[in-house]
Amino acid sequence: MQPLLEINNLTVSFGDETAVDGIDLTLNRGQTLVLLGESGSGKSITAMTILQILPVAATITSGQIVLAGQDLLKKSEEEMCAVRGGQISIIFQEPQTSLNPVMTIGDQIAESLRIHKNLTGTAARKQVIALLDEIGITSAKQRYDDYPHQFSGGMKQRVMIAMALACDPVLLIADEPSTALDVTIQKQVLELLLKVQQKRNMAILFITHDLGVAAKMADHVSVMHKGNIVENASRDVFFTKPSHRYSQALFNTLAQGSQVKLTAVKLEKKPEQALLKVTNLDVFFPIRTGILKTITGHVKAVKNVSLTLEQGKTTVVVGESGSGKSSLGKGILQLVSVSGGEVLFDGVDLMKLTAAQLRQKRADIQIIFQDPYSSMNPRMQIGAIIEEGMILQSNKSAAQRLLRIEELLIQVGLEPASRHRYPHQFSGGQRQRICIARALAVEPKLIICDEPTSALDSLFQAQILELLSELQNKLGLSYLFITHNLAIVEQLADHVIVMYQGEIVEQGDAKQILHNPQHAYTQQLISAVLPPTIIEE
Amino acid sequence: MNSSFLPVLLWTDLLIYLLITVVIISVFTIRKQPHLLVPWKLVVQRKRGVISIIILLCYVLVGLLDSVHFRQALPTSSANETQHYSTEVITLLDLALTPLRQYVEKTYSAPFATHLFTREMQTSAEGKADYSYPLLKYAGSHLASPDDKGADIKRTVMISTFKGIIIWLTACVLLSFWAARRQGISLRNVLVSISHGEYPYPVRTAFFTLLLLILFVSNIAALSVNYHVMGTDKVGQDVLYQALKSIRTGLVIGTLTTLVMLPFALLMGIAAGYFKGWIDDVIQYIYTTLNSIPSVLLIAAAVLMLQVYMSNNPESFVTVAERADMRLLFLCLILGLTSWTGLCRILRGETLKLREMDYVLAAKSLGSGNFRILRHHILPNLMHIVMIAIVLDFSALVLAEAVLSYVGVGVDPSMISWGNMINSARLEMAREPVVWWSLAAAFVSMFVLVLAANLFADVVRDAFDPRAVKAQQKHIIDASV
Repeated sequence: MQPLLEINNLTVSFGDETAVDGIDLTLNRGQTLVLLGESGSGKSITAMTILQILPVAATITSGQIVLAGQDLLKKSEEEMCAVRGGQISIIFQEPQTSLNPVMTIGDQIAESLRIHKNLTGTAARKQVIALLDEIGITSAKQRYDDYPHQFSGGMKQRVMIAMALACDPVLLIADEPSTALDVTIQKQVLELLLKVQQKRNMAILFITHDLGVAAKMADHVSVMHKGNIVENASRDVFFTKPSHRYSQALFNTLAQGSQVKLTAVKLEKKPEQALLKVTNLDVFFPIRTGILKTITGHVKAVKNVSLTLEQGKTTVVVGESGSGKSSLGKGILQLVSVSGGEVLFDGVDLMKLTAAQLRQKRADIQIIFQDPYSSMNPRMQIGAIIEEGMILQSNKSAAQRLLRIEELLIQVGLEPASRHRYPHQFSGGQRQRICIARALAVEPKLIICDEPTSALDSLFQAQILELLSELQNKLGLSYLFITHNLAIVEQLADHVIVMYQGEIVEQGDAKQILHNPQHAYTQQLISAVLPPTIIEE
Repeated sequence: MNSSFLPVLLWTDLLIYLLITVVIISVFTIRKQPHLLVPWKLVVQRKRGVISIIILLCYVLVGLLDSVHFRQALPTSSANETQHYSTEVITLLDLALTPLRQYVEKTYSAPFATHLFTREMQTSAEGKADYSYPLLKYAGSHLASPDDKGADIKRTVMISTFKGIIIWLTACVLLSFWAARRQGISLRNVLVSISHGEYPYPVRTAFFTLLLLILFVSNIAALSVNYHVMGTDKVGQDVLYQALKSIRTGLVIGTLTTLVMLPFALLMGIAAGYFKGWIDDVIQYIYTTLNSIPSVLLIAAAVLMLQVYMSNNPESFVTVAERADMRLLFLCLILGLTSWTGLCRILRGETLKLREMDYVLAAKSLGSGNFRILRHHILPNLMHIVMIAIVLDFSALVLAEAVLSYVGVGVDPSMISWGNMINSARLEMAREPVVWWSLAAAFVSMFVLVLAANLFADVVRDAFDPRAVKAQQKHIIDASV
């Protein structure tokens, strides 16, 4: 049988840099090919090349893209317009920005019907409603006239899928379609994709960096690394015996995490006392309306949360986006105004301190943010960034501070000489190390880690987690670790708190929660996790 | 104490010197800060950047020469008589342009003319009354007959072109020699790399611009000794001289206004964006109110108020120049007060964005106070916007001066400016044949300045565009052990 899509020796470059370096891919009808790789490996560029929607700076230097016997690269722009949305369609990662906010979703789906099938009016409307029904949007007739902001993230992604399916494409390109979604919704979207694929016998080119997602979706897996395809294998072979060194490294980083935990467990003999005690914490954001900006209601980000954190231990707060876990961290730090409750740190109620006292106390609790790109001032040198806290919190001389900066840089695994560089000269993982050094500079007892690894590639993720455990062992730090990633719970947590809509639904020992969840939401959360192995259904 | 001149320090001079000091200091600070130095290097690596910088520097040079004011000593009859000084305040530029300044004809004359523009009754040597165009007093007076004009101009152009090329060659060799010394390579290597265009800076473009500029200046200089290159105006004053004198006025308005407006925009913008709440409300209220008043009306009212003050206190102003200068300064102030709102609004928006950045939160959690956060984390991240705004506002302000003077609420009528030149020329547009040269001179000199400033602004904006800069610095250095 002739394959549906065949890519031969495709090379795409940006100026002197080669983004895609002579790759070959084949995809059969009705099959799913997962293109697996980290950010910057050239996966998305490959997808854009197929549709020829590359940025202006990119040039296709060589290769063939054959779809059902026709070379797409030889087609004119006009002919490509018929292919895009007709034979091939695409779903993007970010459903929030992929839909036009001033058009009803029905009209947006109908647009491609009008272009490719010349369907208008009631005929188009009928077909769109049928599509909406198919992708699981309830009361589709009414929702046709709704605008994108009236849908949740998962629903928007469903609308995107409906738009892509409108003209019965033979090939669907899905560019990380579930990465921006919460785990429970991710599972639903993936299952929907599998269902429509079976029904239409459609081929899917699925782009992801997540091994778990790959295991669920793939028939074949192609691993991409620095513009090259390093491994091409069927799903069964890839997940049982990955052959290339890079693929093995991807699996190993997942395994490494559990080893890290083993060293951390040994240290449990320390005297334990409650370092942080939060009682009935409320964080409400007022909703102001009208000319006089009177408060008409509250967004209750955190409701009545109590928790205790012992010294030298790690508590992981798990929850989906919007569950209030970040507000909890900022509330404890007093970075947002707290509406009620008590935050006892080392026996001192942080909420009763004056502004000046609080500034003094801040040295004891530090925070590491999710996005390593926005968490450092781009105009300051690394040395100055790390030094800032010491200037404010200690009376060390300039020479002592310099020594300490170099010591910290070595401690987090960077060259001492790099203190003269600027943040943009470092990779994401290295920046996160600098943020850790900045936090350590003031010798804190507690570090609140707000999703510190979720913006990083998996190789870096493992390194950062390893570094954090190592520092905990050496310095006796406590962590309040905020994450949506349940894999981290297994690796780091002593204690787990599950948050849902601003409230704690379950908390307890890590092992107990993972293996014997009590609350329905926790059960749902754990069952939605896609393990990087093949599950027989 | 006798000296041949008495220095006069006008208010605007003082502020110009202050501005120059600020510029010099900021050049030194920028040299130490890579995040500002790299974009500026990009600016001088662009051809357009280099051309516009050279042209702007010429304007600045003329403006600076015109900012050193003094009064010349009057001749004294005996040694022990107290020294008196002329009431006319002149500048170094006036001194350099002495022939241009003093060769005042009776009234209009066209560029390169030997005769007056208007006919007059005159008596010839034979005593015959004749209604004709009289000869000019100065222009072409060195010629035996007005018919030799063409040949004379041709000869002067040839000689000064030749001189210009020699000056240019010497300048190029000297500059290359300097570059060779700095880099420690031989002069030959430098010349080879320049001629092959391998130099990191567009030196060939710079040299070519310099050639054109030197040729232009040397020719105009040589010709203007014997002719009115741009003609004369109603009272017989040389138009080229006026155009050159206008440069200072334009530059003062363009730069000093920025100096006035900047503190307002920065303070108010940052305060509104960072503190939010009632401070933001108050500041927004101020600038929306200010914005809704027609600025021409506000300026007219302020200038009229100043005029009343000046006519009530004539003793405060010794010379005409001081009066005119006070009005210029006041115009800068009032323009500055009405034009800070735009930049303020941009800075407020940017600060609103920056204050939510994680690094500001991180600084807060390290215990930084508000002032420290503003000084170290907000302000440095706004500087690129400020720089772009200054350069863009400059050309708008130069044009605003012309419009305001035309309307009659601009600079003092005794002060030479492009706006005044246009204002006085507009009445003559209806003449037949038309008197076009005043308008043309003002137009061309203003056009070149504003074009150069706009091109410069363009290049500066590109250089500070984070995406463009990122492309230049994208090599991520692997620093992990």
